[in-house]
Amino acid sequence: MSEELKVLVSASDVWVKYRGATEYALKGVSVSVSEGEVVAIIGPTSAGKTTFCKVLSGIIPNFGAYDEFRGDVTVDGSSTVGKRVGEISRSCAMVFQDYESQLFRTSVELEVAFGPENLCLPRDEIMRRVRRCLELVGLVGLEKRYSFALSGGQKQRLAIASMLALQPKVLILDEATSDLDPRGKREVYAVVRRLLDEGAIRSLVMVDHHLDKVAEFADRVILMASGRVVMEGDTEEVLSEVDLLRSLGLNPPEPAALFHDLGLRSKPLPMKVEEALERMPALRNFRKPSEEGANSSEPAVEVEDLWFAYPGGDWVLKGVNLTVRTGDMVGLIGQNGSGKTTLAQTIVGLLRPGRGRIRLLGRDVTSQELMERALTVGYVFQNPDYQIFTKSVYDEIAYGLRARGMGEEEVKKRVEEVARMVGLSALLDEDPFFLPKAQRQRVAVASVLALSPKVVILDEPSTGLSPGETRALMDLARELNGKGTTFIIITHEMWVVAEYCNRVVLMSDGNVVLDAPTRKAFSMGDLIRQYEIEPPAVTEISRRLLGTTYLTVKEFVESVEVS
Amino acid sequence: MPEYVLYVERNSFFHSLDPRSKLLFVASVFVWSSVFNHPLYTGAVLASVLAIVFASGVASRLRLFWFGLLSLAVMSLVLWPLFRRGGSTPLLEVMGFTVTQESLMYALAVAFRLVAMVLSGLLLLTTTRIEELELAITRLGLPFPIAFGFSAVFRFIPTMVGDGLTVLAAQQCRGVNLTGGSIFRRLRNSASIIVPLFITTMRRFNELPMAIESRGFVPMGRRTFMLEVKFRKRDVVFCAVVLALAVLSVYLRLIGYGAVFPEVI
Repeated sequence: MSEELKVLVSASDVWVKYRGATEYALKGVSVSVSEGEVVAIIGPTSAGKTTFCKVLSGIIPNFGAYDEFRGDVTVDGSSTVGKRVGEISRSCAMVFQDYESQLFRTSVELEVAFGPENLCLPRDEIMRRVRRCLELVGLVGLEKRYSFALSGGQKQRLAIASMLALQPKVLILDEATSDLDPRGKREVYAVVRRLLDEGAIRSLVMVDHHLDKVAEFADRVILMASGRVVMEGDTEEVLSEVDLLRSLGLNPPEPAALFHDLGLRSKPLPMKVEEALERMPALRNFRKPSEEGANSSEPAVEVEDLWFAYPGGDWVLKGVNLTVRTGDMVGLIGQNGSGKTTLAQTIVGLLRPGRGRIRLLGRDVTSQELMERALTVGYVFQNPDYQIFTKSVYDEIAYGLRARGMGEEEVKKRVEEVARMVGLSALLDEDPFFLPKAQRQRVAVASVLALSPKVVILDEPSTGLSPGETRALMDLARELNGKGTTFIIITHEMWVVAEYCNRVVLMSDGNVVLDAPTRKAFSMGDLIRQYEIEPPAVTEISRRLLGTTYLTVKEFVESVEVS
Repeated sequence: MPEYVLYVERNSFFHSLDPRSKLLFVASVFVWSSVFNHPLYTGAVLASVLAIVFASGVASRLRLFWFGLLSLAVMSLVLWPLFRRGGSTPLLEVMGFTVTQESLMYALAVAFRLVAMVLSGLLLLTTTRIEELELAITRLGLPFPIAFGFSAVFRFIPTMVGDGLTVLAAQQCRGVNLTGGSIFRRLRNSASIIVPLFITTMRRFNELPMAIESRGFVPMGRRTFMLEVKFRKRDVVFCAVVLALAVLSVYLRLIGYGAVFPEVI
């Protein structure tokens, strides 16, 4: 970036303290964004990323309750203090992490029109902008659809289109792709790329946990932790700090992590698979990974020719056959709408299949009630806030036990046991509402585990968690798995699958299209890519370099020697 | 997922009217059905509202409401004879109460009246986009934030229903039984649905003002609209007819038509 480029947004020495908080959320942050730049903000949970985005878009200090706000923030040349957010958003617009909250009209075109309407534009111009923005994000043809009937990726793009219609110079995406499937993520990033290329926006600020995406898009990276900027610099420079990123619970791009761990530390480290393949020195003595024997234990879940449709809808499940064996840790993957959650909810008993049979631990439960089935199979929802309602973590975990009429003595024993298992022992008296998201997720898991189900289904456990928090939750799952609990994990995060699952089940269009041990599945990179799933970089590198598939950086490093 | 939206996209005559004409129609239904208390007259009002519902192709969307409307009518039929006494033609005696033909007719008239009123409101919502209604209300002189608040409530109903269903599912999975048990247990169990739903909804509404401003909205600022509401020739004719009927209904009542009990509404 040359120095003469105009600074669009600048913040200097910003301090923010939320009302009632003991600590500052931002502690003297100074950052500026120039014309033409893509800046990524990364960091662990509660680093202050979202707070900082809110500062840039003028929401802080003009909205909400703060004990203290200090610092200078200028957007497009004028200070944000004392201005309406509605005015600032015209030059610097932000797509929230919870982008659905920004959609409040009934149809797609009216949604996009809302912004230009506020700008008092004439009707012709509004219609022109609506058309143009829907073209940019690829939603043409859906103008009359209800906004809330769109898919996640479409809603996300609609939220972006609604912001673009204001023709802001800077667009901020605050973890805007965290709920999306790989296809949705790719769509959104492709759209953003096009916006920059076509000059629809001048600069982009993005917050994202997927550092491989950051590597692909950002010119500059700002690494934040506990309210401060820890490091700032060119993307490759910051993302090459593998140790620092890991210590903050972030996942550095796998090519960089691999080079770092192999002792190849000349910076900048490679960020992409191609680059890694080019730069990799000769390797010797590589060991083929040991063949994992097939799990031949008793079936835990058997699904036979399962069909399901919502009333008046098309088939969502189209004759699914699947056997999950005791001790399995299955990664259930596939695009949104492929039927993963529907399959899970049918197994649990929330949905009744139209046809087919379900057996749990050998017993036919197709017609068994949900309540009875909950003792065998537990289901943890994506969003813990849908189930938390008591005043203490203890009561929350005890709820299912009491509902079954267990005596208080026994309840106490069981709650304490489960709390120890998931690491909540110190928090039993806390009010779950005030815990951070990662802890609330744990409470939700604990309340399901309390019933000691033999099979547990986790539905997108990584949503809203940082990689470090996801890892902690998955470590817990692995520990329980070691003690005999069978897991089915619905996820879009391939590193979770590669690292933790022994088996991959890939669904597409209501059917299982691939069911294989994890290593085998990722060795068929081209096949799974047909279903728009990107295998982890390290599996790609090992496959193309050595003709074998290592699942994790650790395994790769332990199996080869650099000559 | 089912959609909990009232609006049905059709090309009927009633759909094509200016929302202000439709609002006038709803107001007139209130006038017509309130000035009479004879079942033939209020029945005629109800019949015309029903006719428009069917002619506009929105009847199927109202299937969720038929039961409610019927209960409303039955309630009125049962309760009014107890309160509106008088009349000279006794029909039967129930537990010391004399039910007269007049009080029964009155009850029937009120039942028709209530159903007609509610139905006309539903007719408005099934034939008009929320945004059009919002625009019409601003055109009638209300500030936009108030109109927007009104439309936001309708916009969030589907979201809330969706949230409610998810909460229900999540709680059932951890063993909340919503059907059995003592009253106390049931109350506690219903808390397991209401509390998370309430919190989720509060979180949504909490973010709403911020979300709206993030979209360039300035409270009390001026704004334009992409939708157009046009008061066309058909609206002029429609409104003239509706108003004339309202005046006529008041006149008829004043000269003594359409009342079982002339001294009350």
